[in-house]
Amino acid sequence: MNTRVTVTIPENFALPAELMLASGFTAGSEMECVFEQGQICLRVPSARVSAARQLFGMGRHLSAGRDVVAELVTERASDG
Amino acid sequence: MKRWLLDSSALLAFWLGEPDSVRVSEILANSESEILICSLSFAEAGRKSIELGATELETNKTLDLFKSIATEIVVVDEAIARLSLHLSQNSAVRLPFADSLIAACAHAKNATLLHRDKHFLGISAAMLQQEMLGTQ
Repeated sequence: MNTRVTVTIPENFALPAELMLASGFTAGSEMECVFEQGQICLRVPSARVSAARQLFGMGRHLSAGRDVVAELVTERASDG
Repeated sequence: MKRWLLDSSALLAFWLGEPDSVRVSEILANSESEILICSLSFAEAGRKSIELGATELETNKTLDLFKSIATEIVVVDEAIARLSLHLSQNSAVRLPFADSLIAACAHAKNATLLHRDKHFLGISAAMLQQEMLGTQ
């Protein structure tokens, strides 16, 4: 599929409906934009990558300076 | 295709956003990676999450996300349990119970175990492919 879009205001452009349909993008979808060798490539991030982005650092606010992983390792050793 | 089994220690390090868990990010971002998680890790990581003060709802959201990054959840069955005995018997250091089951899952699935638990280092390379976070 090959189509043209126009940038309306900076950082904003509309994707034609047929591209939205073909790519699976919906309003509010996250997309990866890569600029390489004069080309902009838009990609739908995989479900795994999206989940990984949400997961990374999600529990940081709970740990309050504790070394949670070291605690796990110690508990494993004492549990059996 | 490279197959990885993420130990609870690697999952927790990633969830806490610890610096050496960037390695987990790299592996997850690689479309050639197949990600396995032992069912036991859901209990271990979930317990830690609750212990840190997350609600059951928040903990389940975290566990759902763990499930979303996995290609396969490896269930501990009789074969895995028997294999864990073999690994324990042949480990250079005393292998904790949970470690032996998780290592057996990695061995059974021919996966590289990614972890941050020194106890796994007692298992020979012939029996377990492994990588410890922070050592790459």
